[in-house]
Amino acid sequence: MILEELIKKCVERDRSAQEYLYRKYAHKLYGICLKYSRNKTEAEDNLHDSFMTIYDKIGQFKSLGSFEGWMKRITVNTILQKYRKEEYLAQLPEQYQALHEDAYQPLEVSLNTLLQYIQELPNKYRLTFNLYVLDGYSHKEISQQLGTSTGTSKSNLARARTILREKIKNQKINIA
Amino acid sequence: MEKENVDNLFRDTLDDFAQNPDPKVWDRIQASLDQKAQRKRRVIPLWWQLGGVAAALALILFLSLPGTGSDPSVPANEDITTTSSEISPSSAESEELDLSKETKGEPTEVNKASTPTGLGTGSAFPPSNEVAVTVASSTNEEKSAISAEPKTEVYSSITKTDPAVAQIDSDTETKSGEPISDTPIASEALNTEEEIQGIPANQSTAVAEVQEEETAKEYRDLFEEISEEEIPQGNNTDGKWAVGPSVAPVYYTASGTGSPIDNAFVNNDKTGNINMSYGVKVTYKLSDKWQLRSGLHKVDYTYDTNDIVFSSSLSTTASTTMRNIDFASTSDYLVVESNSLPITKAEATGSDEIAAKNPARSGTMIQEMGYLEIPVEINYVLLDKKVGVNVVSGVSSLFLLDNVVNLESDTGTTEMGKANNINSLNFSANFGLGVDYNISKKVKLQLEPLFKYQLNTFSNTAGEFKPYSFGVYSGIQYKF
Repeated sequence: MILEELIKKCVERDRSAQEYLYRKYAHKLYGICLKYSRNKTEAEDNLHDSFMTIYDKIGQFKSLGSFEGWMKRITVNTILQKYRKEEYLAQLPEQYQALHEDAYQPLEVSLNTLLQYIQELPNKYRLTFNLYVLDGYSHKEISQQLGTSTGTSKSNLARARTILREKIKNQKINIA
Repeated sequence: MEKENVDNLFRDTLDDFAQNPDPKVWDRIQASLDQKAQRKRRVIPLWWQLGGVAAALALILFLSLPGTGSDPSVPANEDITTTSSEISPSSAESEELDLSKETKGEPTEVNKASTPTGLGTGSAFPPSNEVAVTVASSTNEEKSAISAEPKTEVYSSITKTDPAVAQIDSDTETKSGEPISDTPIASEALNTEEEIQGIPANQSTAVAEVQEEETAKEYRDLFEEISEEEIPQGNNTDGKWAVGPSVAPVYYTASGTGSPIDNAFVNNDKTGNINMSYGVKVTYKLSDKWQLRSGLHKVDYTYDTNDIVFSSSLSTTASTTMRNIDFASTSDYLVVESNSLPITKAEATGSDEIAAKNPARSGTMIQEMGYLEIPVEINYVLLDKKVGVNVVSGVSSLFLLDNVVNLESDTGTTEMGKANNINSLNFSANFGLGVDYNISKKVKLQLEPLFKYQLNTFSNTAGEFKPYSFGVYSGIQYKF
């Protein structure tokens, strides 16, 4: 199916087109969700919310940039929105429940381990690290998105790096 | 380990990281889509109600204008004014909030529905409308304290109806302690249902809207950022204005059995006529839903008073008996009477017999009024697609340009004079429905059946004579 046609059908809320869109892109967006969320369950929730937003706003997509890029931004924004709100409304305790069993398995620094380390970071560190390191946002953009200052964004990134470095170091010691 | 190394390690490993989600996610999305589709269908009647509110608002706007109180036929009801002004802000807001609310559930919304904890597992809610309704009705009935009973009922019915939910059960169990903000669907369902149920009680809707306003705003900003990126700059101001010609056949007639001309014609049969109205219409888009419009139209209104006999007399005294007509100089000797009065009939017949040179003619009296009309109307958009539908209501100011009363018989037409009881400024209350057809992004065709109730055409009438007009306005609108 041509992209334009797919988008048009999704605007018309054609269910098979919506499903096709999901099948085509869900794995990529779910990857983003896993990196930005605290655990698998939340990543699934975020994927759900992101797709609902995408279906809703798909009529607003103008074919000026990449459609995939647009969907990724929607996904990131949906997640940021959620955690930003959470930060403001209540300082909730971090929960690390999913993937915990994996923590005893890694023999080297595997993808799953790195993913787990990211997920274990507190919200603001995780989001900042993802945005800056993995998705190439600037501190200025991050501070705007998260409603903080660029200084805070930089210190959050530094803190995230320190924690991650510690985790990797400890793991290597354990293996050795 | 250097910071670059950390960055690179993560970047190399997790860049373009993708993973297939659990199939249950698509089931949930499908469920949410179903739910949404159902809600969309049910929202339409709400728009109609809002259209009614818009019409009421316009009427009130008119009633509060000075100078219209002189007409006893206009009900200046204060009760209506206060009630409707309370309603109006909520209707304007609800339309605005619709978009932002659709996508998500807010913690505050859940609180509002007063079922926070028990439904914390609601991210796994099925689309079942039945379930949603149960929740909504229970919230309505027992708003202050929902017992565990209805909740359990809802929960068990979920497990029965949707196999997908059964799968998720273990997940939801562990999640029940989590924050409410993790439950978008459940809160959304509650919210929608409550919204719909709350319509008849306008005030409660208003309160709810106010509570939601803040959260809705917060949500909007990020998505606005996205859409701003997508839409080229300057586009926002485009298409706010539209202008174009408008033409309509207008039928003018009146209810009641009076006559604005003279007591003598109260019992005569009167028929309305069709005339053309033409002009220019300007529309300004206030929001996606609301439009304000005005323009300039030339419109003629005429109606006939049937069963008239007229003849000439030797003295001018006869004509002075017509209280609301200033006779034209050429018609000073004209005697116009109603055919329905037996005496006149006899006289007329008599004179016919005696003096064949001066026969009484039977015919019709036509009153013509030409106006320059300036409407101020509000459109509420019900449907904005290729074919658009909107509700129109407003007020017109009509400035009198032409005023003449003619007599028409089989043999010809004679000018009788002009009415002295027509107000030089008249108002009408307008209601109608508009249908658009968008030919392109810039041009659309319009067809609007409009009813216009004339409020103070005449300063005095004999008997009841309440004129109104009905026109089907068609035109082209150019957006710029």
